[in-house]
Amino acid sequence: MDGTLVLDGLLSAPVVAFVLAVLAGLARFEVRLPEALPPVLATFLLFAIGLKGGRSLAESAPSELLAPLVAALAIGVITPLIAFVAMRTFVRLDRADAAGIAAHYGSVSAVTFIVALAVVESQGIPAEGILAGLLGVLEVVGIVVGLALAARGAGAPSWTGALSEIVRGRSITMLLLGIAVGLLVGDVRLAPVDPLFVGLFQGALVLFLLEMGAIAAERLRDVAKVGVRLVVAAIAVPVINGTLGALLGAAAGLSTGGVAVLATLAASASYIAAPAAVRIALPEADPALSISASLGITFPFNLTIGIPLFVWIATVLT
Amino acid sequence: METTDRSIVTIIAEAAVESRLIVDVKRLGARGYSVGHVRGEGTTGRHLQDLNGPSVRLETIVSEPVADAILAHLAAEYFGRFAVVAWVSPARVLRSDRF
Repeated sequence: MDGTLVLDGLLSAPVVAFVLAVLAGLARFEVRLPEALPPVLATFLLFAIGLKGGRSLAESAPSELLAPLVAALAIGVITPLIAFVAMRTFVRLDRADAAGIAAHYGSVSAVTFIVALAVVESQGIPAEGILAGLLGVLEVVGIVVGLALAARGAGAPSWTGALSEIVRGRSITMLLLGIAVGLLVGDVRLAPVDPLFVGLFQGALVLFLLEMGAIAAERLRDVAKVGVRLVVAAIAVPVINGTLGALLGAAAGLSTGGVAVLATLAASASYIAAPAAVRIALPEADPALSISASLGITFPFNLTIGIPLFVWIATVLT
Repeated sequence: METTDRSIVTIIAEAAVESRLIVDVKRLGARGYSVGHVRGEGTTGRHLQDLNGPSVRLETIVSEPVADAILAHLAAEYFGRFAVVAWVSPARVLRSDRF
């Protein structure tokens, strides 16, 4: 693996801010941002990433979009199944808990996606604009498949509540609004809003990752309670899912940056949309297990090791 | 001053159930409610403060039969599945037609 690539990924401001915030949080320093700020930052980041995706979608031919979309749908169906099997056989969880976690790992983390996008851009291998749209697709499909796995057993989940919770929730809405605005307005006419949505983006991301670090640290403290097998699975599943994502991305003809970001998406686990949906649809699943795994282990793993790993796999495959 | 006896139903719940709680409470006869965010700790551990927000505290002033109906509904549909606590306390109100 190329040493400078790994170092570039690790020493980017968002990742360093995140790691230091985790350490400060573990040492019980008050790292959390004022309560009102994180939702504002999350809204801003999702809208800005949608805008960015929409403006580059405006430049691309519709025929280029089909193969990546098919790859994303395949990822959305297969990754929760892999997570489910790992949770049932290796971690030995019951069906409800395993399905709840599968929904988290089938769905994706927008923040991990945004960091991956920033990393590939800083390395001069930008990803395609369609990936922002694939983020929206994957966020929903993975949760639906995860909940379907639960429905095969007892305690059928209430679909309507969970689905409207995800689709109409703020994260998907802001992302889709951003894509639509970017697509309609186009690259040139977006220039006046660039100082806000492009110029302040990296800074806002660093601030948001301070908060994420603090939350991840709170979750890391609970990790001891969830058991070694879940910790191992929370690292192994993203490596398997990410490699699968890279293979499908390369097969769909994405660029090196695009393959790396799609792999990161496949590897990431949701901790915003999925917890809300799973709580409503599958209350029997223990939320502490899935949040500890996705936010306490998988998220830090992907930010520090996963993204450089997937960038490397992408360079090998493309 | 002429006041009327009513009941205050207070519900502390995880953020995930806020919207469905509001629907249920109104369906059972509450004509108004207030919701705020709260922090705290309970028998099931520290309130889950994930990115969907902290726990919520919902309060509604209702007649005694409505208060009983809300508690019965919570016991049947919520207590076993979600992080929810609820209690009823007495209140004296003016303008009883509002509650």
